[in-house]
Amino acid sequence: MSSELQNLYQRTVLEHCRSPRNFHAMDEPDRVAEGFNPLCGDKVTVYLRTPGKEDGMPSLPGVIAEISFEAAGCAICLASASMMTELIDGETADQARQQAEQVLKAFKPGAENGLGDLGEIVALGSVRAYPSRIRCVTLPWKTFTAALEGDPNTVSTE
Amino acid sequence: MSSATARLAAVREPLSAQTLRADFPGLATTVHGKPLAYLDNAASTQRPRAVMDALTTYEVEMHANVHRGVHARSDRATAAFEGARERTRGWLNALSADEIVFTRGATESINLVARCMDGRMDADSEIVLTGMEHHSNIVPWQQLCERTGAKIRVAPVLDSGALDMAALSGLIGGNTRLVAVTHVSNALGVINPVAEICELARRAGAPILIDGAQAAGHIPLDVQELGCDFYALSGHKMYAPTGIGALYARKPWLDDLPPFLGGGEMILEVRFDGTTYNDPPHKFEAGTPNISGAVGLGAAMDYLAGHGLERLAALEHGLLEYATERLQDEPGLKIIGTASPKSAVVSFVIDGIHPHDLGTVLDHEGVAIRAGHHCAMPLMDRFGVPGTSRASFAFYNTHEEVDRLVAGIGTARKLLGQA
Ligand SMILES: Cc1ncc(COP(=O)(O)O)c(C=O)c1O
Repeated sequence: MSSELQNLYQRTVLEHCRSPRNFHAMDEPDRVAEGFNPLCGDKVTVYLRTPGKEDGMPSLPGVIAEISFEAAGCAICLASASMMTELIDGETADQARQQAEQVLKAFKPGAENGLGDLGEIVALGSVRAYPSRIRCVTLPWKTFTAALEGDPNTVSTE
Repeated sequence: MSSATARLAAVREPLSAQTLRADFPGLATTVHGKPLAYLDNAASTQRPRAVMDALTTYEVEMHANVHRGVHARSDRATAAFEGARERTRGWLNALSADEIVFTRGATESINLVARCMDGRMDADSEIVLTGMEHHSNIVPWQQLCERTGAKIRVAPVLDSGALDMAALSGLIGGNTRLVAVTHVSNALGVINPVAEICELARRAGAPILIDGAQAAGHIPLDVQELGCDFYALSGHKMYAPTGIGALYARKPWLDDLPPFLGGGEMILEVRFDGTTYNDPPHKFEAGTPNISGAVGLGAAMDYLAGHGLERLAALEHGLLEYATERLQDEPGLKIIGTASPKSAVVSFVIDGIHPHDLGTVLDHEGVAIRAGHHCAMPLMDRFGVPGTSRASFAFYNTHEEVDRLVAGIGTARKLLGQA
């Protein structure tokens, strides 16, 4: 088996994929968004509990008090979503937004690997060498961003 | 050697994938340091050297615009282009070469028909499709319905992947203004009884379009015997270049339907107080066509005919049988589409292994398959899966490549921890 493959499917990635964290629907979430990858049919739903939110949509939440997700996706997508929920849980909305931006930027074509301090997500860094799989990593993050911003449309990787 | 002698020689020598592979330079390459096992032929086929050579000859000796120049090269280009039309007529056994419109591919062929049908649809009209259509044989009809108020009726697919013929026959009736059915399902490989479906449509007085994208390079065709009104095909799925395809339409349709795009080539006379259109098929071919693509398509048909499509199909059938046998022994693997007859496509899901992950692991083993919904989302919904892994074979594939596919599945199980 090639070492590139073993690097892609590292122990951390597989471990998250086998027992994803925060993998459940949420009763009465404050915010929710759905993401869809039209290339492979993968779907992700991200739920947020953001106490102290004001009524009416675009008012921004202060803290991510709880985050969960549901997904039908590949190992990379599940691991990315699971790691994301661990990283973001309890962060302020501003920090979480920045982290999402950092991840999405690091997976842009030709970008530097700027995942430096983002914890386990770093284990997904080698996906950057697989253009057809990058969307598997970014879908949960794009969906999270949409949930945070209160975007009512289904997010697409396209 | 004349082409007749060549064909005789070919008949005498038994065909083998090994000798045929030598005609396809793209197959003799490596991926991730492993020899390529190209099992994604339903997405696009590789091209034989004969096609590449025909393109080079065209570029060097003939290229100019068609139907326009008064010079020798333009005459040669026109002859090559119209020669390819005649070749395509022969391939489909159409009555006349005027019934062949060159397009960019099956997608454009279907859109051409859908765009020209507005005048024949109203709010009572029904368009009958099946649950196994490729998106390109769904969306153009939805757009037609949006413009005209017509409704789509969908014939369901059985658990085996076969079309529910009883249901289809119940759906085709007095309000049916068009039936559009795929000849072969790209996602499952199931071959539909298109002659029977044409008969159902004929009895209801409805025109029928057959999406032949997956059939034209694998199944001998005779549109007159089939009795279809329209037949769509793509060059790149039958060993020809991308960007070329064809629409067969029975002559009365081409006379009747309004033109598709407007521009040069499709007109006889243009004045600001009115324009008269050219005769079919030119009426439907606005602008400078894909001349070299058409030449490549003709060359691909010559290549296939030279070996005999039936004999090539027999090799593919052998691969289908072997792959089915090997894969159905795999624990936790479920083949979707078990009906017969089938073309050489095996679509499957494996417990606990997502098609995308399998696709990446196989790629590292040099094995190229397709993972996903295969542009047939309604069909994936029907089987309750987001997507499948699909191995699709051509005559140049070998049983050893099937073995490598199966071994690669084992590697994926090990890596992803299912073994
Ligand atoms: C059954 C079927 N119809 C139509 C098409 C569309 O062909 P193209 O993309 O060449 O226009 C395809 C190609 O994937 C197909 O498999």
